[in-house]
Amino acid sequence: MRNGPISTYGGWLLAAAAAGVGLFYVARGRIRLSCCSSRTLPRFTHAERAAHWFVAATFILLAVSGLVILFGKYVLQPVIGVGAFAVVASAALQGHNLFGPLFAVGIVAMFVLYIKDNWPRGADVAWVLKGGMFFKGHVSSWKFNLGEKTWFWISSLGGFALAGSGLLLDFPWLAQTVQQLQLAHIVHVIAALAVIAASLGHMYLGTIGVEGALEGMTTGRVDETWALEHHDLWAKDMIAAEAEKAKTTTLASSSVSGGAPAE
Amino acid sequence: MDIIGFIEGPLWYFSATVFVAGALWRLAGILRFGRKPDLSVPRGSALAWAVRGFFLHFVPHGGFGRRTAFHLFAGYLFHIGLLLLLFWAAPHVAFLERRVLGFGWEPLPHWGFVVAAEAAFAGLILLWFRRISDPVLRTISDADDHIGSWLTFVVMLTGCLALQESHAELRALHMLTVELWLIYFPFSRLMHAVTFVFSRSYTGATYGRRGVTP
Repeated sequence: MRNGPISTYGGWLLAAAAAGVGLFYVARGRIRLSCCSSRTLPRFTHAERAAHWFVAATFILLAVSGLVILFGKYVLQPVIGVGAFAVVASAALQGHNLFGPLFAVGIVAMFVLYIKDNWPRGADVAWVLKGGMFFKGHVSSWKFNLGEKTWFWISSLGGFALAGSGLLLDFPWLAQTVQQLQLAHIVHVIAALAVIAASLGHMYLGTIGVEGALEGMTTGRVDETWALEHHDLWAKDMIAAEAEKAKTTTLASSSVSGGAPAE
Repeated sequence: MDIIGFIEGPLWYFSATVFVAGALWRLAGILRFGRKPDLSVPRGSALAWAVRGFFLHFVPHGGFGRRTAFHLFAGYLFHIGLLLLLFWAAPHVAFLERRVLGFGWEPLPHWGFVVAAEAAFAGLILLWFRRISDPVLRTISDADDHIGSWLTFVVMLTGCLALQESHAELRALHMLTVELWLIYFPFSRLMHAVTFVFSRSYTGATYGRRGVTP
């Protein structure tokens, strides 16, 4: 199964995902910011960003080494030869086994940090009925739109499946029977292919695809115009909260200085 | 001589020489600066505070605990993991015994090595995140900082890729990255591994002599 239908259809899935991203770029282009404001809103906390980049770094290492293990015999070996591929495969396996537990810890942390804003809400129905970001024009959304929520659940549930099956494969004495290891193998490969395919879209949209998105995950803040254009329901809440915080700070500092606040 | 023989032979000797000679040369240069004469009446022993200052800086104090918690945790995770890997990983102990010192010691068991490696990688990834996300660190970081951390990561990665110890090519690749790291070390901020002893002690001595906790 692993070397047959799963490898074959899995390979086509990855190719289709990559092609889909390319087609989206050709059809929709880069989703640009209409203008920039001088104000920014806080979007991701330090902990959220740390967890994201930790999982991203380990995921990329695991994805590359995992793809070498799965497809290397068909893709790399004919090019570099049997001897060289043996070296590459050995390296990939060692790296994959070492980074797996790190990914497992990271994905649990990410799930705990991000779940509160990823439950389905009413606005998600309207978002998908209006075609999400596939068409130009404004579509309302809270902190995460349905596309982002879909990615969250695919990566989380897929990540848990990968972590659980991967730990069993990394520490085979934990399994009771050989059939459990075989099942773990199948689950691991299917989950990996699904998450890698979906991640291509996430990586594209988070970097090139949507102007202004990457700053949220590097600096923790996003342009206010970006927030109003892509996540207006969340942005309005944040703007109101920031205004309230500024008012409270002004009142507190004027009561300390003993005078009325400046007009 | 093939490429593997070159990496494990002449290039190893060259890089080790550059590392030792370069580090000593940099250290000599720093020590030659000497100390500015302090004409004030000493309020404490400079020597005692040099020692105290060295140990005091292992933990944050003066109200910086909360602000530096992430950096402290990731930094210790990385450095302790790396120290254990460098000196207690079985392949390293065997290498040091065979090629450098002539004697060895009891290495970590395999599970201990794996835990140390995971900790070192986790710490380094978290520190990398900090460097790209913290606005101050992002501003003051230059090419040397990025090259040093990426080179260290590549050395660790090639080491873990060669973990099975069944391919001479992978061991040679790891040695090659180690040798590049050894050559780069004395001329970069990686020298903090040596200079931190002197900088902490100097700070401790200077301020301790004036009666101020460094």
